[in-house]
Amino acid sequence: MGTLVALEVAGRLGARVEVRSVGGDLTREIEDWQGRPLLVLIDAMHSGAPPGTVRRFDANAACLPDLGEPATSTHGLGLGPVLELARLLGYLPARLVVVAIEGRRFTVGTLPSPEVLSAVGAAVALVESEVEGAFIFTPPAR
Amino acid sequence: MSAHRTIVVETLARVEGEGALHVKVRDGRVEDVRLRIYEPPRFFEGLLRGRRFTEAPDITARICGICPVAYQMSAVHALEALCGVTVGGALRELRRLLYCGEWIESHALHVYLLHLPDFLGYEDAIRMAADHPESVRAGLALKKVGNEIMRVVGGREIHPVNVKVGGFYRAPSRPEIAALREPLLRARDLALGMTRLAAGLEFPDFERDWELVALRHPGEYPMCEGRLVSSGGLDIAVREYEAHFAEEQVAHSHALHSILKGRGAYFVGPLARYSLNFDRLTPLAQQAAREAGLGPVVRNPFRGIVVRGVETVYAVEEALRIVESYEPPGSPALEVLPRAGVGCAVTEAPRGILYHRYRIAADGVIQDAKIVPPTAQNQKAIEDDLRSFVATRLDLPAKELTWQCEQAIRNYDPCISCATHFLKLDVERI
Repeated sequence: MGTLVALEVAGRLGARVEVRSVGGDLTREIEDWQGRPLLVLIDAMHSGAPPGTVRRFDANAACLPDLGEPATSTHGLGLGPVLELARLLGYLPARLVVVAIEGRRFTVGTLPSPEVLSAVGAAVALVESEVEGAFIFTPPAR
Repeated sequence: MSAHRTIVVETLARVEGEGALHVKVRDGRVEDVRLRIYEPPRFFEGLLRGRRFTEAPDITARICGICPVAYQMSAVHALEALCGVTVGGALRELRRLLYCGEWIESHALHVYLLHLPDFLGYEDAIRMAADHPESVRAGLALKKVGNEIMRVVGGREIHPVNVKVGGFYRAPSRPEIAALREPLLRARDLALGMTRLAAGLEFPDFERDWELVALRHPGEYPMCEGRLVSSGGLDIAVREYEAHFAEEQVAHSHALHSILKGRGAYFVGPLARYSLNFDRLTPLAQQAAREAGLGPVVRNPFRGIVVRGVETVYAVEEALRIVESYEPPGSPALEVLPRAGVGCAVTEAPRGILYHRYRIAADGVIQDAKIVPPTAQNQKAIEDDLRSFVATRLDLPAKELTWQCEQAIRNYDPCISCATHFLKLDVERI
């Protein structure tokens, strides 16, 4: 789901943004977040809202709602714990926004549900508005 | 305190997969210890039947997100042995470099994010990070270097896609490999720091007399090749594995228990590998071990966190050696033509020896596969250890005993997802 939105954003905003598709363990990314003016993380969520619901979280302001449980896996922390780890280590960017779409199908290998596919456009628009609302953004040299 | 009581921990965190530990105490004596692995069976061996032999590295890599390289390496070596192909030169070096990346990543993850919180009294690494941010930063930085090696050589960090039977789909260029040198130089200091940090922790006096089993190679610290040796005198070719080791089904676990025939439980992993191959470590890794207070043989599982540090020093140095001498191979892979037969291999996953055996038909279709991961091999030894560990701590309050049991289990860094492919603690006192 996140990749679908990110690819669409990349197509629309081109070199104005750096787009990464990250699978598995997110901890390897967090060191690179520090010093960036804006980071938008796009992911699926499972909150009990109707599938296809798009939500925006200001992660600088507060922990994600799924925090509170101890980390229970060795293979990859969830997004909430990773953000908290980044906050504790001083790796958060100037602005960190999470855009999430409520999923319906979480089985490995299945396609996104029609509800999620129909919500991609709204998520892309939300990401674009974050970028447009930011000051002039130059991707760091890599 | 009553001799009859029940202590239950619903979920043991910081191990991979779903399982539980059940300890039954009757009249103040430990009557039974069961490592219950209830994560559903994953049927990978069944999935392999009917697939092309060339698909085995990619299918088996999916068994584990932390040690996919181990699965790939055991698969390709077994199939190449079957087909009469030996991979050497730069391709062999690239495989070893890829395995170094996995050891660095897995050991750094275990030490800093999974086990150190136990020793320092935190529920998890996130809570530990509030008071010890520098340790967590160092762990993540070290882990990242391992990940980077896996990306460059394996194509991506998780479930690499560049490994094939006979070699690789694409050989990295010299500049791509050379770019790993600077991060590895920093990683060497981080690995030495990790070893010193681990050496300063407090360890309970808990020596075990397991039969240690690991690979041993004539000239190097073992990863992909060598003979299977043990502290009890075993010295066999890997093709003789099934003549000496057996798997047993037990009612309380979805993972088969392994035994050494006629001898019972045995122990694999970093302690076994280190204790049977100390002389094969680099001088710097040996020095780091001595300065950390380790002898050439380590039998206290709590000191596994130190041994992982020493092995990380080794893996970083070995990776540096390969990077600094790398010459790209003429071809990214050798041609491997299928033939009917049976092939097997053992390689050293971060958690210990990983056995693969395949039977393929003349057309290259897999007829039968057998995979024995390290956690499955250690289950019996873990149960034996916990029985002894709990027996000397029965006077502890339930919460403290539970905490110590969880910590003890994480000594073994069990990967239940691999073994069923783990953990709730339940101490029953009756």
